[in-house]
Amino acid sequence: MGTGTTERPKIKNKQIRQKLFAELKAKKNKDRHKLRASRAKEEKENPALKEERLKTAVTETIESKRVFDETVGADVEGEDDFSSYFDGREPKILLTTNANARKAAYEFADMLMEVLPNVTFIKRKREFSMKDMSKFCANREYTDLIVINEDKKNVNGITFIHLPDGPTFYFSITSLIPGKKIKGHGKATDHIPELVLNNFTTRLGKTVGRLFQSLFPHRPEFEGRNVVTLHNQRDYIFFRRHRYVFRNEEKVGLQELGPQFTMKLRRVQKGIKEEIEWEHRPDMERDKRKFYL
Amino acid sequence: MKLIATAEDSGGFKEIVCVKGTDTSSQTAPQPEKISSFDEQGIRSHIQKLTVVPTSQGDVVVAARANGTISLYKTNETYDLINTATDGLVADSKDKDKFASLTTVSGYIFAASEQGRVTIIDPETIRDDISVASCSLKAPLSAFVGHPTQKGVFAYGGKENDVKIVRLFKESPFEDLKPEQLFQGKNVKNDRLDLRVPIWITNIVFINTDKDTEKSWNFITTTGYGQVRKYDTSHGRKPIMDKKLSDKPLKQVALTSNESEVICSDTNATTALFHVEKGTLVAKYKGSVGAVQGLHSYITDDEQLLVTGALDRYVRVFDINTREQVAKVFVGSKVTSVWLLDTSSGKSVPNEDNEDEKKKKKKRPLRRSEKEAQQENPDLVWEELEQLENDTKKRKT
Repeated sequence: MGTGTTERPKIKNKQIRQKLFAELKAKKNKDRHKLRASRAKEEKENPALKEERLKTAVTETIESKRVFDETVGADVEGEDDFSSYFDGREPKILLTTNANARKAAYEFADMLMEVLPNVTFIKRKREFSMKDMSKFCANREYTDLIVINEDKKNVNGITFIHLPDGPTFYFSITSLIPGKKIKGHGKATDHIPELVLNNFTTRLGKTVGRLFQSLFPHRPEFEGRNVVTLHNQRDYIFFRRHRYVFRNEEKVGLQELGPQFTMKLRRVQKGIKEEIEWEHRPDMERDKRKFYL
Repeated sequence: MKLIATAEDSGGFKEIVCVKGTDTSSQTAPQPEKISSFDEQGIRSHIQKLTVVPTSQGDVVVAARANGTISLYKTNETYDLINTATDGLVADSKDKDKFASLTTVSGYIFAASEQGRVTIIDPETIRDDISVASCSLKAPLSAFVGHPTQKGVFAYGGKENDVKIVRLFKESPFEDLKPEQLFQGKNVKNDRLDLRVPIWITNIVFINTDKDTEKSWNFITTTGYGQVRKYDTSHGRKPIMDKKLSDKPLKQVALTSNESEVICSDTNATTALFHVEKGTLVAKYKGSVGAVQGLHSYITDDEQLLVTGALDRYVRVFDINTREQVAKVFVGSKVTSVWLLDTSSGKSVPNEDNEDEKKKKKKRPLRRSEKEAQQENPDLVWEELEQLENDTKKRKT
């Protein structure tokens, strides 16, 4: 208290000072409560006042203070490498891990097998590089290659290679929680889920959104009532999976199926791991209000 | 400034008219006056290389497309298509063929593909009956350049295809087109583990052309392994200088007014000015997030500008000497090639704006918490406390 002023406190006795300060705080608190009560009474009589107050008193968040990005909401121009999926080709996915992977990687692969339709798991062989594998998969008409990365018994990354000509995405993975650990979790069925993509707004974000879109077949099986959500917030992508039920016309029940994990985009490369289209650098996080997805 | 940038996603090209200081990422900076697209043919036949050729009837935009056609456009308001030449690429090759280079030397247009096909077009004949000739060189090819003064002399190279100098013709490519090899480079010595150094020539630049004779040439090559090499063929077939400047493949090269300095961009979003003799990095052109695919230097007596077009869908213009970003434009599509037509187009911006910006930077608007702190004088609490003390004392008495 009173930094910048070199004067001694005017009330010399510390105990009296503390007591008085506590009284002052209590008084201010009481005043605030009184003000709120009276305001609530006024607003109950006149709801227009409340509306006006809520309109003016908007909380400032990092999202609302986001720096201007001209690519937000801009139209997607032309085509990209995912356009073959949108022409109607069904996705066919090969899933593998890093070389010499441990249990954690196989467990995560098991979870992804449940989520992604039409997926094959192959144990990774040391002698084949990512480029070799992409070539083999493209020859066998796979549309995507997914490689899980495990380090020190933790799953820490995932690579998506769209076949045959890229692009390649690398995400880091954190906060992985298997479905069994989630309280009140349900048991998943093998229906094709519906997909919810939230907040992929910039041009780069749209590319990432199209990647996830191209992993799931066009026609979800609605009778399964399964939804996979990829929610982007401040460049972190949250993966969640639920089953929903319409209890009545207004209420919807949700049951989480799991797993939960968080992804962060680290790198986008043209082709199969060639020129860099976008790469995360630590100095990108200096400006807390700048987002890329 | 008037720029041309190719758009990979839509398969066309764009004309951008902007002033210096343009920045589409800032709402306060000037915005481009005009961005207009021309001849969009889809991603499968996008423009891989683009150049501008002066002819007797005005400049002509030459665009080499992924489907093997070479289109020629007028540089008027609407960029009317004049003519097209087909079959610039080898169609029945195992790997998909691409254009590796598109250059103009001694009045002809030369388009070289990765599989070694060279297509030659006479720009004076494009308006009626287009005359096209072609020949083939040793594949794979990633660089193909013509000698600026010696007619018919070219240098090329590629992956495991060391640099070669050939004479394609003596008088005219349409009369006596016959490739004849004049020089072949020799690989550098084995490294310190006595392992062979792999070859991957990505670009060649002729330097000190006034010293070149009929049998000796000076040139610089960049490689896919990050080396920059300097050759003087009168000193033998090996390079006279070999320096590793980068860990990433150097893909694009642009010349500066100083012959010992070149600007290179790699596959990792770095564009830098290198001193060839010393083999050091002199300056970086910062800003790009994606790998630069199109690099063009615009050098006149009073201005030296560098234009970059990158995979992050931005076209940026830098001042080569001060390294400052002069303009930044979001084009909405991946850029493979760029060209600066002129710097006079577009309104000029008064210099005052710059000063204003500097002032703004110094005087940051106060944050809310700071404002509150200023309003709420720390002494106020003490005064309030004292007031309270006085009140209680009064009660006691």
